[in-house]
Amino acid sequence: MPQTLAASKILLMNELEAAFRKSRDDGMQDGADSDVIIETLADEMGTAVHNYMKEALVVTTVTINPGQISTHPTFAVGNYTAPGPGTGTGEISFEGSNVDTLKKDFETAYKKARNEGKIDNADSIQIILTLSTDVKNATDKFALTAKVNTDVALTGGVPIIGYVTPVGAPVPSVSLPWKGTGEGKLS
Amino acid sequence: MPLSVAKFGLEIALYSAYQTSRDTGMNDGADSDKIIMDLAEDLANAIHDYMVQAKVDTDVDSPSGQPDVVGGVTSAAGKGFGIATSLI
Repeated sequence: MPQTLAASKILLMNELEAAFRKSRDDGMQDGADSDVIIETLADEMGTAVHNYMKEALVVTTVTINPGQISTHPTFAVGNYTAPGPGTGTGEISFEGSNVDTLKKDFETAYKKARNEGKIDNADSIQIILTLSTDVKNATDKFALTAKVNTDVALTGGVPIIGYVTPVGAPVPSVSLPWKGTGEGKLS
Repeated sequence: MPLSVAKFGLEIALYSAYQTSRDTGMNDGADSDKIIMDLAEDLANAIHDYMVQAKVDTDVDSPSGQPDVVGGVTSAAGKGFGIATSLI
């Protein structure tokens, strides 16, 4: 089970801090290559964001559509007459190719900021604004690629109508707890 | 609140984090360790505040065989949906 976003936020903060610190330290070396520094920073930032997001705990409110048919060896056929309530519990996951895209998008954002900063009379406010937009877009695009998987527990209690005894007397019934699975996405 | 709305708050928070980092770094005797620590914390908070607002939609399948109190069982899989208005 994932550890929850609240718990993994500390890990995100620590990994981002380590990435920025390494970037600063590498940049202080003679002959530092800013391309390599940014590529490393983007890779570590992408890993940090991925490590954080995949720890999201998903808890859904589940509804099974009414209309299911139930069979009984003596009482024939019954119909589930109401929606079936339940709870889904699970996690989110990301494909490796989408993690790679996140890292590439971070790299592009930081290289753009660096390049704009090299221009005479560079406007730092505009550079920060553009960087914020690009990092936001990269993060948002990545988050929306998440795949959600849940294990579902149905609570039962749905009225079942239609069972009859061999002499035609109705037999009321209700469903018992059951299971299921859920697949979905974030929005 | 879906991410399509939450992303506007993310952008504002990112901008604030980067700008604070720049401004603090321009001060005499600026402590780069402290600036980096604050920047990492601000970015982590920005991403966290965005992420927890995600809405979740799932398609749910329940296999046949669900029992009931008189001994019947469902003869076909059930279909439904799951929703969550935030992540934990």
